[in-house]
Amino acid sequence: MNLFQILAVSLLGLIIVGEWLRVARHRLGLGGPLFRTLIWLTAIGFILFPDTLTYLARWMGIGQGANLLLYLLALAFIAVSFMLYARTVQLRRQMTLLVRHLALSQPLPPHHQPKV
Amino acid sequence: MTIANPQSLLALYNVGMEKTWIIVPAYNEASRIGETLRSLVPAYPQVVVIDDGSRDATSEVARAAGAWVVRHEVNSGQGAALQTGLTFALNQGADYLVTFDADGQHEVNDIAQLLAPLHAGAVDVALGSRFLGTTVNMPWSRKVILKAGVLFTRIVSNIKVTDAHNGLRAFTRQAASQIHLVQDRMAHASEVLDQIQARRLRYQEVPVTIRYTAATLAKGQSSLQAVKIAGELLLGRMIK
Repeated sequence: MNLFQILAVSLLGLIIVGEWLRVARHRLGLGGPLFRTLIWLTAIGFILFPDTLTYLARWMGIGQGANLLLYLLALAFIAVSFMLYARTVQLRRQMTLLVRHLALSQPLPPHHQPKV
Repeated sequence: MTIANPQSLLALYNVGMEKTWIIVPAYNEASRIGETLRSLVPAYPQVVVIDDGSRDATSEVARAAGAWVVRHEVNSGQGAALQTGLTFALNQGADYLVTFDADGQHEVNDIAQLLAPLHAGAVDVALGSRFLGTTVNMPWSRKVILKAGVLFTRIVSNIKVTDAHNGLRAFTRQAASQIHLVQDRMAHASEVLDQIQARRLRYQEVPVTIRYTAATLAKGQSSLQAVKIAGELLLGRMIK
C-alpha cells in the first residue's frame, strides 16, 4: 500500500466507525447508515484495487477508470442536489405550518366594524 | 374603536344567514390594497387579508379599509397565504369562500357570477376565466405565457380549463375543506386544479374580467418565472 492508500483507507475506516458509533448511541434507523457504509466500502475497494475501476470502465465501454469515476461523481452530485432540495422544501413546508399556526392564533380585527 | 378580544368580534361576523368570506392574499400591497378593499368590503363585509410578511403598511391599510388581517410573520408565498385564508374562513364557519387578488385586477361584480352556480348547487368550485370573459390591456407576451400554462395544465393535471392561473375562484365549504395546498409559492394555482381533479369536485369556469395596469404587470410572472413555477410543481410532487 502506498501512502495515499493508507491515509484514504484510514480516513474512510474512521468515517465508518463513527457512523456505527452514532447508530449505537442514538438508536438510529439502519437504512441510511447501511447505504453510506456501502458507499464507503466501495470507495475503499476502488482505492485498494484501482485496476478494478479501469476494468469496470472498459467493460462498460467508457475507456478509462477516471472517466467512470467522473460520471459517477456527476450522478452523485445530481442525486445529492435533489436530496438537499427536497430537504429544503420539507423544512419550508414545516416552517409554513408554524407561520400559519401563529398567524391564525392572532387575527387582527378591522379598525371599524362593517355592518353585517 | 379598540377591540379587546378579536375572537368575540369574530363571533359577531358569524351570526346571520349565508356566510361568504373573501380571501385576499397580499404582499407589499399597501399602495393598492386600500382601493381594492374600498370596493370589496361594502359588497362583502367578511373579508380577510392574508398579509404574507409584508414590509410595508399592508396590514394597517387593510384594517383601516374594514378587512380582517391574518399576518404571516415570515413571507411564505401566495400558495401558503391562500391556504391560511381558506383555513381561517373555514374556522369562521364560511359557507362560501372566494379568493380575490389584492392588486385590483379583479372586478367585485364578478364575485356574484362566480357564486351563482355554487348557490344553485350545480358545482363545488367556480373558476374565473379571463379567456371566456374580458381582458383589459393584456400584453401579448402575457397571453402567450398563460396559454402555455393552460396547455401544461392539460398535460400534467389532465384537467380542461381555459385559464389555469386565475386568482378569482369560489369554493363551497365542502370543496374548500378538501383543498390542502402544500405548494407555498406560485405553483399553487396548478395544485388547486390537481386537487379539484383528484377529489372529483364538480367545477365550472365563469367568465370574468381582468384589468392589467403597469403596476400589476410589474409584479406579474415573467417567462423565466413560468418555467421555474412548472419546475417547482413537478419537483414538489415528488417530495412528501
